[in-house]
Amino acid sequence: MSTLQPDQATALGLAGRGRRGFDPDTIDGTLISDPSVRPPLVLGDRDFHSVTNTICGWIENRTPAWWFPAFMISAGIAGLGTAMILFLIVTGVGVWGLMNPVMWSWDITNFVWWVGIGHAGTLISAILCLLKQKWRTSINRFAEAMTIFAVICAGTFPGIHVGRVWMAWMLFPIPNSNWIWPNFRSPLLWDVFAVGTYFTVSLLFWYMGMIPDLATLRDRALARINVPVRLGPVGLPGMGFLDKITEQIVLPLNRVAAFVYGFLAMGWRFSTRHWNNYEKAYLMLAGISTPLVLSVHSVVSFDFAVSILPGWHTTIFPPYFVAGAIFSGFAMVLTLLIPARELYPGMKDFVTAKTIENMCKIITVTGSMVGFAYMMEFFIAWYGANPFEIQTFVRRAFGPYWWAYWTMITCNVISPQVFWFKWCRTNIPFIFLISILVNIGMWFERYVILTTLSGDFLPSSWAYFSPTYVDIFTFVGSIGIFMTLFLLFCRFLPMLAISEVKNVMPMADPHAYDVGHGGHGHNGHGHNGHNGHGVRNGHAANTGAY
Amino acid sequence: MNRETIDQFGRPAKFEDDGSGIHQMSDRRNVLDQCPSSHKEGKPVATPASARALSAATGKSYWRSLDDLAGTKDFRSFVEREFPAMASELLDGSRRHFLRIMGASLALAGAATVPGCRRPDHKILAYNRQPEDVIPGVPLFYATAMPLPGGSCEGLLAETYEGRPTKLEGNPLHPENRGKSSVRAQAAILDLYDPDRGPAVAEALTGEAGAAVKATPLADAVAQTREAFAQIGAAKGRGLAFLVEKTTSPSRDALRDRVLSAGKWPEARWFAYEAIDNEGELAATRAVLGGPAKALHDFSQARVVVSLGHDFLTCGAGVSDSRGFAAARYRDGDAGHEASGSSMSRLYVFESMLTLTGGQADHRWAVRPSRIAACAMALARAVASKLDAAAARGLTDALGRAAASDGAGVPSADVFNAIADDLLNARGTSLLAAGEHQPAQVHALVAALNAALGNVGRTVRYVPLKGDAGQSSLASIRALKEAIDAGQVSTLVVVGANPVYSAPADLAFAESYAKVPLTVHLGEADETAAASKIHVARTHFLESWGDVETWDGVYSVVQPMIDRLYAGTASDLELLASLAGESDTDPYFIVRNTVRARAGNADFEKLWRRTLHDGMSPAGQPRGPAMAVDFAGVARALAEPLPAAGDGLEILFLASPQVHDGRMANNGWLQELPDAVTKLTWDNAILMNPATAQRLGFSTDRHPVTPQYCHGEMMTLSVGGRSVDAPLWPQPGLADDTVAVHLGYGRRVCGRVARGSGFDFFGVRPGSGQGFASGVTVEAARGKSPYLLATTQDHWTLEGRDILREVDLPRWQKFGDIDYLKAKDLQKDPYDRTRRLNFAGLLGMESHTPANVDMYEATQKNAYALRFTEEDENGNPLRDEKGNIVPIKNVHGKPIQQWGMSIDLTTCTGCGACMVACQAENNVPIVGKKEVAKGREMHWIRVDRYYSTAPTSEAQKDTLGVGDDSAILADADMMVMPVTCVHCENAPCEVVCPVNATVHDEQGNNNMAYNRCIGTRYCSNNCPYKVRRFNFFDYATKQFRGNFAGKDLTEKLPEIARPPSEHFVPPRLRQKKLEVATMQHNPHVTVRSRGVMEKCTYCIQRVNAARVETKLADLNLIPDGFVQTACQQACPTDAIVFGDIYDSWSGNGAGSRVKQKRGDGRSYQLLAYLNTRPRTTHMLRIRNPNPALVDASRRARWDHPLGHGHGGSDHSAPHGSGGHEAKPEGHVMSLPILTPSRGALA
Repeated sequence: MSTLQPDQATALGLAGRGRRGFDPDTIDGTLISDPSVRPPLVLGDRDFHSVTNTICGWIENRTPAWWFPAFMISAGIAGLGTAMILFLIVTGVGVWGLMNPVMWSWDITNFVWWVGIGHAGTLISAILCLLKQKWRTSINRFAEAMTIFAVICAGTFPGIHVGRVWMAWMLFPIPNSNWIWPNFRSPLLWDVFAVGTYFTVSLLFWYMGMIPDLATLRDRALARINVPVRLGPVGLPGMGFLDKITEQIVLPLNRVAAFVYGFLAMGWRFSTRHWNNYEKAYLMLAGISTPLVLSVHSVVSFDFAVSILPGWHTTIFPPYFVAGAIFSGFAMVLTLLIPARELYPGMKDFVTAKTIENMCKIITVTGSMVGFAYMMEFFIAWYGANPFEIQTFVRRAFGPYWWAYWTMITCNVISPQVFWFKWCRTNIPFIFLISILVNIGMWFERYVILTTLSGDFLPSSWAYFSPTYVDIFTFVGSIGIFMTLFLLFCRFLPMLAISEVKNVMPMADPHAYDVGHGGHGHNGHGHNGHNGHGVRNGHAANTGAY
Repeated sequence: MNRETIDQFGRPAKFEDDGSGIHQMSDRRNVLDQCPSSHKEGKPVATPASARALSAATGKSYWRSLDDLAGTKDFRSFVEREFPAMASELLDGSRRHFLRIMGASLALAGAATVPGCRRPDHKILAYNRQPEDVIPGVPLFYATAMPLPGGSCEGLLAETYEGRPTKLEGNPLHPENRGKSSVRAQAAILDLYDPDRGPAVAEALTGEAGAAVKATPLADAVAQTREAFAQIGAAKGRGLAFLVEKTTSPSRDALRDRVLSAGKWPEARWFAYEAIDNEGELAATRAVLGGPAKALHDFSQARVVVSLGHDFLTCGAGVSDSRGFAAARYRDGDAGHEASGSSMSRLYVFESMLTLTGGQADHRWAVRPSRIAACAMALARAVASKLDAAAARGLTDALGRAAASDGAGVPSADVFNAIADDLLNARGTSLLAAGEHQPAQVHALVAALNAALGNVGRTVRYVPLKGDAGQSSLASIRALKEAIDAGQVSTLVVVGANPVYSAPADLAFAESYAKVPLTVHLGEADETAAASKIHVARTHFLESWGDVETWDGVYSVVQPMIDRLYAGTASDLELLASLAGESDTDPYFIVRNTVRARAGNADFEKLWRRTLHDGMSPAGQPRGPAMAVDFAGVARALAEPLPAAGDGLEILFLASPQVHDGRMANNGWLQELPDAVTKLTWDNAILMNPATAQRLGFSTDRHPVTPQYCHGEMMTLSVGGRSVDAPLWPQPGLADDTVAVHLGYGRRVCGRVARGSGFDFFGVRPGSGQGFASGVTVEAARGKSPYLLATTQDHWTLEGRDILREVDLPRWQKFGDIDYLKAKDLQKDPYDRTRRLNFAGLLGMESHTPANVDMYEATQKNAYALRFTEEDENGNPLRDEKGNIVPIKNVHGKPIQQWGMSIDLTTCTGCGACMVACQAENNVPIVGKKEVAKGREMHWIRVDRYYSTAPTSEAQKDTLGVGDDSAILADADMMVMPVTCVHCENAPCEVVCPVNATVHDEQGNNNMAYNRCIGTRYCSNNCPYKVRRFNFFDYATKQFRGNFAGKDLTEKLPEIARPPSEHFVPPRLRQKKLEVATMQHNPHVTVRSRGVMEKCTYCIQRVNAARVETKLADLNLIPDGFVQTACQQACPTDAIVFGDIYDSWSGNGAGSRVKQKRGDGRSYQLLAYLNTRPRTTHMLRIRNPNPALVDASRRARWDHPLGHGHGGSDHSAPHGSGGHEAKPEGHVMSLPILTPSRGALA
């Protein structure tokens, strides 16, 4: 990407910034300050074919060298986390630092944190879809995958934190010999429904959106089905004879890929009827998901808001939790996206600086909402004149957990405010740093809420919670599980929605003005020349602004 | 005579029918002839020595080969061990071996049954014919008595299931207990099933390297010492010495007299010894009363009580002191005038360490131990100056001849004048008591004052002590030491005592003890046992016959409930009789003979049965004539100089309220019972006032290592050249420059529970200052890291909350009865709605909150007819003709009783008997020190303790408010409050449980369904009272392999490989609990597995049992008082009342006791503003201060009906800063409460 691309030059010209001070690696020309001009969403002088080639190439090419160590480390951490979970189940919940009165701590902190992270994906794919925010197309697959994996991690914690894990099925309203339904008044049961629904819908949404891309991968694998893939030399020192053997071994990888992708593609044939149904289904799922984005974290917040504890029993929790969830979700998307953008060649053409800037803006908005909520908590505590409530908030800020509280404030309230400055929201390493801080801050927000338990009504029961190593490694392990799943996703599934990205390219719109490539001609070329690489047929009427 | 009365545990199941067959079978198994005809005389009939021989004589011959097996030593030992702890023989052997054993058992059974009435009776057999009264699962209660350390006893009832005792309760007939019981009595049942008591286990449980304890069976011990005693007998007892623990057992006294009689061993020496004894009182009574005596207090008649260091609520005689004190503490007025007519005793306490008694005090002064005597003197002078001349003559004379005393470190003269005035107003109904650690002068002065005030014979009774109890322990141990060192002792028999551990440090007794050629020890596997040549393990008092008297002579038989669990153990009677070669060594016959001797001309059998049934002898009479105080003796006692006010630190040695002098150290319930004042478990510490600690340059930070765990900085405490390293624990309420320590911890040779718990301060206790000593230095121990201390309550103050409400008596008398429903201006909430609050309610936060308006009630006004016709599912109307709610009825139309509890904070002393009683009743496990330190203790009922102090400055007020408790120093007041599940009608826990595991029943109980609980713990989070307990690990069913005090048995592993706690070992890798340890469990209460929540159930198993009983008696309802919860039954002060809150038929229409309590103006709901509607209510605490001793601002509040009650620091601060002063009639919410010490809740 060292040379200036023609459309970047155009964008720069539009932005009126000239070539001075231009850093092609960070600012790619999409940051146009003129509101009347829309920057391009895909850079790099790409046609449909190159889009397909780039995105599928990440899967089809040889595994990048960094992937194996990354995967090994992640899988190792995931294994550690799994070992901790097994130890917990075998021995008892007491291996965590929980005690009376702090009966929940890192377990539920982690649960809420992961659920919160899981919010970004659905928000991007559903709400931004309905709002016709086209820049989302380059990140929605990525964010949805993150959502799925985050919810998997989140769902682990309520499952394992119960005292008798082997009886956890009693949470579900299934007919059983006890003849007893679960307690429908309990927010924990609502959690089961809310998180379960959210996971199911998110998974469907993600998978359904992926079907055309899976079909593309299938077709490309079929095309290469007879190309032998050899194991290649092992390269062990002094074991040259092994290389001779392994060079002869032919792996049926293309055949397997064709089968697996073909199975997952569910017979997609790029027919117009398919596309028609797909678009309808996509819109419907977006509609269904939209309320879920709001409901899941509202319900999770009910775990606290429904209780009677000072600091928990507040009506502000549902909106405050949802804002926090989007906040942390976007931060996590950035945390994952920024390295991926560097590591995968060509990805910067799709995930432009403008996209990242947009996300920073959302982080600032939601971060300010969260900060406002913290302020309101204090105000209501004072205004409500309930001494228990006041004491709780004074204790949060100045009590034994002051460090957690001020970490939260620093990371969640202060750090996102830097995005008011353009330099901050266009400087990629800096954004990465802030996204990490926000992730930390949002974890501490949940922790601070749970520290309420350490001192509620009767001072005789007040106590201080400290985590054990099992607490810590279970949490770290959950990050390992998340990263493992994510790396597998990067390696084997299309990280970007090929068909959707093509959809927002200028050539997808036959009536768009020419930015250097013939609109009609190009479109026709894309369609006819290449076995239908996921480009919808004809002049699809959904290209909006262009 | 019914032979079926022997149950399968070999325990006599029914004692009343005949005593003759139910003695210790296993050691009298040569008495095989159980024919009634031969037992009329009560003498054993000579029979063949073993079952094998018996079988050869009378059995069928074809069993002979099996009999051979049955006669082998191995098999016999298996059969004799009726409770093989691990049943290892069965596990070890092959199937064939197992069958052989079974076959042999059959053979023995055959040998037993064939010869008709000749059968051995010590085997496990299923009931062939159901014995009368024994119904599986239905407990039987038998009377027995528990000897107390030093003498006297508690009369108890033992609850037994098919011959297995599970719980002890106070005997309602016994004058000492009256149905109540102490912590110690409640915990005693656990000692019975202590696996470390068995000789087999004791071997493996050596405390420190080289201190092996090997128990010798009694028979072997007798055989091994036969020769030595033969020589002693020849020498008329010369060279023989006995060191016995003090007890008031007439049988043992009789044995002693026989042993020391002219015909036996007249030259033998007999020493009585208690590690913690009342030396001062013994010396004083010798001088003042002419002989050793014990002061018995009748607090129930005392209107003014002055304690000079006497903590009668912790270590008074049994529970009668607590009960008597509570009875006089608060008395309701006549019906309808409860408040205005109420009366209350007044308690002044001078003490050095904050105790339960100090916590109850109306006025308390923290005085150094050496200054208590000066206080006593000042008080005596004040009383003498005010008494009329005739009455004061003796006292004045005695004081005139007293040695001079200075007044340093003593409260001002005004204090003593005020107390003296109070005492004079209550002549004959006042009471003075002196602490057992105080010297003779204080006891003499107290006796003189009691006499001068006319209390002797009314509130104080002096009973002479005879025999062992009157001996000075200190003199005994000194004399014994001298005798040993002089080579006069060749054989020493130690019964019960543990002098190697507890003897005064300067005696170096252990060295002398090792010099004795033959030492025989009976007792626990303790330090003395390890140092003895022969150690015989002692039976528990529920295993062996014995007897005991209370101080005033009420005679009880200690009746066993079960055959001894461990073979070869012996009781003290058995050992003494065996060593002495008595013809009758069976304690059963020894005790019977004692009763026979006491019976005189009465029908002995009748008396015996009566004694066993009632638990005490009807012939029990107060012993001895009344003893009169001789003022000349007082003068003689006072001629000794009073302890001087020394410089530097003083140390006060106290008996541990939990483990006493260490003999209860292996009892897990007691170790885990938090000390009532310090709230420490599993350990003792150097207790010091934070101000003193800071002055000495020590940190009072209780969290120097982590904020989660309390730690004490290690200190080196030195007294007279001896030192011990122990952690420092800052303790409010101690006198300045005073160090207090609890004795009985730091045992070196002990069972696995006690191992590693605490520090041994016997090692620094000098003989010259058994109670307290001066010349103490405390300095930081170099190079020692802070020591983990497990406390159940880290927080000291109430944080300005109205949780524990308190009011002074005059204000209560004036305003307590106001009918607030009629006082219109007082009953409206800020929204002008009617509010129903009583006096206590108006003191709390609920007076600031809007009235709870029942929306159904509001509807009812408009739709009266509709509501009236409403019926429940059984067709019973929900409202009566007037529209009032009627109690719920069951399908039979009978009302369902609604249970509730009331806890009176005025009479609760915080002793903790309720906690242990609950633990015994409800199978509540112990969790060990590390788990307690984490906050995972399992007690279903806890006693919260808060300190408060009068703020002296505005700055201090503020610091108190935010919880900085360094300001709480010597003058701290202590308040205690038992909290257990309050069974909310609007239970927050129930809403949030996702699996319906905690639900309400129709009786209003909040129940736990353990098998439904999956352990989300949400209920506990949402419980505002934090009374739910979670099984983080398998506390109840798996054996704790480690050391409860924090070290684990994996010590051999390197540090890094050790689990952080024994509980971190997965359950499957742990052993199940020993069978013997599970025998204590109440069969009616589920033993909870890990991962489930548990909490107080209102002893629902007792309610259900009572319901069955009432149904059988054809009653509709359980009468009031027929069912008692375990905590209520134990509570010595009757602070806990349980019953039907809708019961209006009991008490001649006044309703059940709990209903009356709930109607009282003192009753309030904890955290009522949350509208949880607790079924357990608390009753506010009333203090009765002397108006002459309180400041004007406190007095001013007595005329103030609605000033706020106790909010931690609000002792003297008027309720000025809220909105109250400005608008006395209104009750607006005060807003400026960001600083909690001001405003509404301050």
